Amino acid sequence: MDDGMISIATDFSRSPAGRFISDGPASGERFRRDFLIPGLQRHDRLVVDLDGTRGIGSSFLEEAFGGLVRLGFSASELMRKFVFKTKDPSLESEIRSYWK
Amino acid sequence: MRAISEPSGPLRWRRARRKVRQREKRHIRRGGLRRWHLARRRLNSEFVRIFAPEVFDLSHFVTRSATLRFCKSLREAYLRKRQNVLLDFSRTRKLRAPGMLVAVAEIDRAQRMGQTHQLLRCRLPAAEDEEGQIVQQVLDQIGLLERLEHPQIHSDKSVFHDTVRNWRYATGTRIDSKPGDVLYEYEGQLAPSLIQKMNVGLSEAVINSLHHAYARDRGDGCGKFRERRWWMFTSEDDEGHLHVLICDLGIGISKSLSLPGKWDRSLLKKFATLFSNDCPDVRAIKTALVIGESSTGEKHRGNGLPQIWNAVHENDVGGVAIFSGHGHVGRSMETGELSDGFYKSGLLGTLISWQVPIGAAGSDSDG
Repeated sequence: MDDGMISIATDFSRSPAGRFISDGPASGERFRRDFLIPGLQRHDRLVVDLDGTRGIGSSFLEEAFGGLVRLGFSASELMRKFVFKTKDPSLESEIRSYWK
Repeated sequence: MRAISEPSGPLRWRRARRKVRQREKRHIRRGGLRRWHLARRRLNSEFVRIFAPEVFDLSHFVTRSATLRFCKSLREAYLRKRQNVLLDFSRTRKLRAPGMLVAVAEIDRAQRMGQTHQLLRCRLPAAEDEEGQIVQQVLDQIGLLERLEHPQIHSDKSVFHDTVRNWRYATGTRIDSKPGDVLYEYEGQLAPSLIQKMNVGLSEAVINSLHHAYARDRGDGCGKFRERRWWMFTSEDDEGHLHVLICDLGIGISKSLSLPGKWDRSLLKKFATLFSNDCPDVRAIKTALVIGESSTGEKHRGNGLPQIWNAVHENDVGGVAIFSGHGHVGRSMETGELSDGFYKSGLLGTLISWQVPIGAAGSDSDG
């Protein structure tokens, strides 16, 4: 199985925030467009490291991960393909709640 | 062409005498004042003087109405009547961060919306006592003197009073690392988890400003502000508390919730009955805190305000307060007491304030 790895803090930004690209340089929409969608297309499984940032807000998480459902990805496919690495389990459960 | 020669003899003497007499007459007409003095007086007469309140504050109803009246007078003179304004701080003795942030935001907004030929200047209090010196230093520290083209108090800000040196100011129209950078200056003095949660709360507050606060005209009669701008302060008080504040000058939470097609009507009705004993603005703040629906009606959107509220909640230290319109809702984490209030004078915008004791949170291992 081909695994992809994305670290939000090192690959994207230490201060991820905002929903839309117009909100700021490290928005959820940009992260979804530049990292999550290409990652899902290239790999069977995507490991996302959520640690090392200055904190991740709900608006960023919802737009980045919840937005995938709005773009047509099925919830079951997302549940299967994503693996999260984090010291804060509430972040993972928050993301998965967006797919239910 | 023949050159005109200078008159000589008695003619020259008579002309010189006449010039002196004319100068004396002019001097008498000016009431003995020198010309430069008159010029300065003329300049002052072209300015509308607005006296700043003695105390800038939002919590107490007397000082709050004085602070908001100052902001209104500024908008009225500078933006509606297009006059030059002299902000007179000579009577100001105390600057509390929430009141000062709203005033600074209003000044900044006025300058951005005003015409280029308009002037906005200030007069400082006398530096005779410590209170006057502190007011002068704070205005310098937050960059207000520079904006109002007043000479700075001291080129070396490290000589400022202990409580002044820690005032930080930031503003922007997007969410970037700027608010976090200001907050992370306290890295090492606050627990990593607390600082992380406060940073999340800050960024969610900025997002709320960007998405909801400027959705409609503010209704102050000054025209539309074309920027989605937020303003931020951090400051320390004498008791070792760090205050982190962020505000917008938008429509406020109450008007934001009533925007047509933005929120789920049935949910709003449910919450309206739940908080029916509260005044409309307090009810709106409490509704926004519990509502989990988005501004577009889609599930999971618009839940930033609870994160703002919970930024210090899970750490059981400090406090949080939300001011919007005429309402205020706050919570002290130490006592767990929830407070709310209604003020006669309404804030045109929303202000969120967190307060945490510096060092009291210690350090934790999850950072």
